[in-house]
Amino acid sequence: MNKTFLIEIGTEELPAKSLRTIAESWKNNVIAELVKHRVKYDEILWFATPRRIAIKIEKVHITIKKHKKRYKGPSIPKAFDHLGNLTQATQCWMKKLKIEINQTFRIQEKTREWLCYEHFIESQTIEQILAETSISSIKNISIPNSMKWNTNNAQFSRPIRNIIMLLDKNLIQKKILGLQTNRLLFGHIFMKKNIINIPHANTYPKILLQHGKVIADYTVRKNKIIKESQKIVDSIGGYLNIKDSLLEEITSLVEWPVMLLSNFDEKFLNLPHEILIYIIENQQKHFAVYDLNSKKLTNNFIVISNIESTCPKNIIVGNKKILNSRFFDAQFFFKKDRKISLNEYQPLLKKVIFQNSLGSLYEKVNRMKKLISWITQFTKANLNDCLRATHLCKCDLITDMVFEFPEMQGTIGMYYALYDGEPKNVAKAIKKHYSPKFSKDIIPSNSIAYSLSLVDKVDTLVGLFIIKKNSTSGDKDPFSLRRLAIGIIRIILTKKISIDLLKLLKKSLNTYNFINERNNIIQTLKKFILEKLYFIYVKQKYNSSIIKSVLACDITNLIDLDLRIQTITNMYNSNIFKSLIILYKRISNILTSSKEILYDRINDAFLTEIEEQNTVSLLKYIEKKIQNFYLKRDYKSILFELYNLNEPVYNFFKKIKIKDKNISIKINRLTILKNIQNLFLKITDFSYLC
Amino acid sequence: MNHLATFTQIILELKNYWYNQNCIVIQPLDIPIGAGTFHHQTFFGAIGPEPTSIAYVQASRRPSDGRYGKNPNRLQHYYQFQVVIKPSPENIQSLYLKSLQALNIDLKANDIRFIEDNWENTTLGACGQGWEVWINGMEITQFTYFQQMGGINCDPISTEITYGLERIALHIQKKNNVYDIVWSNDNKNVTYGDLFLKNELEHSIYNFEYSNVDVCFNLFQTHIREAKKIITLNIPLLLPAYEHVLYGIHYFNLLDAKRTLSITERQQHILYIRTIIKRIAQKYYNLKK
Repeated sequence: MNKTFLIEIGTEELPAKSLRTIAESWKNNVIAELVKHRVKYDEILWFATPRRIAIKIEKVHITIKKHKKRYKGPSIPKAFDHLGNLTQATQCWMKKLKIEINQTFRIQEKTREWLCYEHFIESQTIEQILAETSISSIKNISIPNSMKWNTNNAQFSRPIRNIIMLLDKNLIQKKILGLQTNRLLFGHIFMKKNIINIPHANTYPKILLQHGKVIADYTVRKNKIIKESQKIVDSIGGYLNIKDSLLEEITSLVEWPVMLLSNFDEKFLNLPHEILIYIIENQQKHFAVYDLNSKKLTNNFIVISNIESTCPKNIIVGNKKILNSRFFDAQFFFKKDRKISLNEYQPLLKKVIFQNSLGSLYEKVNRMKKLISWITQFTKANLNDCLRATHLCKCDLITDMVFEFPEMQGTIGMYYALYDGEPKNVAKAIKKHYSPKFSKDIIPSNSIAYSLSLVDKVDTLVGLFIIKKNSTSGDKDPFSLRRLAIGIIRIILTKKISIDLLKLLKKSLNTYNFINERNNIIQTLKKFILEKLYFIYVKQKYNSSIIKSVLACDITNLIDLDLRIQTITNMYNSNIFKSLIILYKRISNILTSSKEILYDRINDAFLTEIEEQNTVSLLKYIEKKIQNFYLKRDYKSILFELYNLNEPVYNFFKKIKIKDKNISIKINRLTILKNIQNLFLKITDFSYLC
Repeated sequence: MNHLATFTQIILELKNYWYNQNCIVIQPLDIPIGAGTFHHQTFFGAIGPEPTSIAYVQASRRPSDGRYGKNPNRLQHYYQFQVVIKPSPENIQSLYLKSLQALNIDLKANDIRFIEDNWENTTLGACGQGWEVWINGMEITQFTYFQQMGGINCDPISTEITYGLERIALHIQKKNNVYDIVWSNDNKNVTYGDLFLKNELEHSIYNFEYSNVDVCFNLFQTHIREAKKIITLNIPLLLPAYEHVLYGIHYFNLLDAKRTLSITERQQHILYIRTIIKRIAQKYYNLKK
């Protein structure tokens, strides 16, 4: 038989930013528990509002098959002694299971016989299983920030005030987190104060909608918010551009969304729009409204309230008032900041510490200037613009605006630069030089910006290694070293900056003027960055042997590394490449098994056989030919050239014995092989691919 | 109560409401502090096992928030109404909502929200989970379940409710500007501005322009030294020590308003204050447990 199971946890307002994760994590835990208890069901649904999370399992199979459990004892020869008496081992086994010998039987497995005992597991009722499942699944919900709220030591994201647990019509009685389960649902906190007696699990969430003014279904709520907001902006020729994270947050903030149109004082549109949008969205949780045609921000906004108010005007006016006062504050800072130009903030960077013992931001900027002067030859960015952008890029950190809205760093700098009449590219670079901020963040397209970003990140990374903050043990990365390294790699690869990593690190290290053990730092840094590089490729599903083989070549130009990895990956499954691997393996086996010290170069005087002579002349020809391909980093052509050796070398093996009586001839032949091997190793370390 | 209550009436009503909920209505602390939480009755009350139930108005000073009397909604000196109850009652949220109703705030006409805000005060070594309570987008209350105070885990848990009185008055009186709030209307309409505009202006000028960094720094040091001295006495004087730290924090806030501290220096000051606060809390806890 099938029944519906419902559990709802009534809470005080759950954090909007983690509501969905909490509900989904709970659902996954329930699934895992049901699997463990072998409970079958049709479907499992999750519900979440600020004041409740719920799980509904549809068509739970309530008949639980009893199952046998088998305990294997000692094998027969070990179970009885030669007189047929029970051995010590058998007695221990029986004692552990609390059984007598007449409860056991023998089983035959392959050629041996064993003592065995079987019994039916005392099966729990489905109610017991579901209650147990509920308790442990709640306990294991991953909560970013849990709290206590009373004396019974229960912990959750927010205080739990009510728990409902029903199997069809029946209440499952249980004490969970200090609360006795019941069948009372709470409606909307302000619109419906009444308590609803839920008759049957399958009436959820309908009953809440009809009697409680609560839309428990997350997706239904989300769609309602989008649809009705769209309707409102359509009516005024507006346009919405809702960020996904904001929509999720707002969906998690309301049980009964009601969308209202409001507006703020038009004069604030003079402020940088990023600031306005930040306040509208992040601080006040509204939807900004843009003009349908120009896509520019308008002074309209949409309030997503949580109530069907008896006086919606209150809500519209109240929100307008608070937005105006927040903008007023921004304007106050803005005016205060603009008393001097962005450039005039530069000397003030002296009083801001960058990192303990790494000096001030002023000094950091000076180091960055030195480094960027060198780097522009590789990034091909305009040097003067780069220097100007570097000079100004940290100035906004002193401003009141960034002090008040730290998330706006860079953006504020860009605006102030534009007001000062700095070149557009320079201003843009000031904003973008923090990107990429995380592993999927966009890399700036402006060459000044990515040059500056690269320089900023290298300087910080090198600095942190100098002061030995380079422990990234465990999952913690308090100084975001990994993020910095990945940012550096991504910029270099995406923008195809052909720069030598070692030289870059050395240059940066030299801008710091108080360090010993320079070489050590460079080597650990190089290792650190290349490790991150390895993981980047692995994450993109590249063959790890290929990555390792290329990394083993000690190449420090990341573009070169990337080209090799790409080329080999593309050719890896071709017959040509497979033959090359086999050839390399054969050569390498012979070389490793021989102990002789080889010649520095092939001695033509010892080439006795025609196959030998042919191979050597071909080898010399190819060596010369691929020199050019190396300059062009045309690894594909090199691989093709190497493949030309395939047949001649096999002929060589067929016709010629390496182990000649004449030791000089033998060594010379090994030297030929060594030369071929070296040619292979120039492209990648094939030993990782064998 | 009158529909458009005066500032005075709002305070009286809240006192009355929480008095009827068995809170002991006490008076503000006579020291410049940044929030109601710093009152020694709250700080020490949250530590240790014995129950507490208090309510009071507290003047709060945040030098950095000065706006020369020009911002309609930001002040460097304002009033909070603070309620602290331990252990936290199960119906605390509905008690709070009823207090809004007692102020004639219509729960069915306004959009009241509990927005996650996990409160933390590093100098006090305190933290807790809770919310900002919004009415039509404006924060009017901070609602917190203290988890730690003075670096000590709270057990049982206290609930702290901090009302922003000016914000509530703005809502009730339907004013756009804090200085237009009616303070009292007994004989003539006295506004918030009549009483405090000059105060805001002068303190903003002082905090941002004329406060002397050396003076503030010396006063900070002096108070902290005094606190350190009296907690190491044979019979430590914990309350006076705590009060000296509060003075110290105020001078630290003045230094902060002038942006004279670099980020790391600022952090170091905060950590320094916290270590002393923790020692006071620990000693207090040892006496009480």
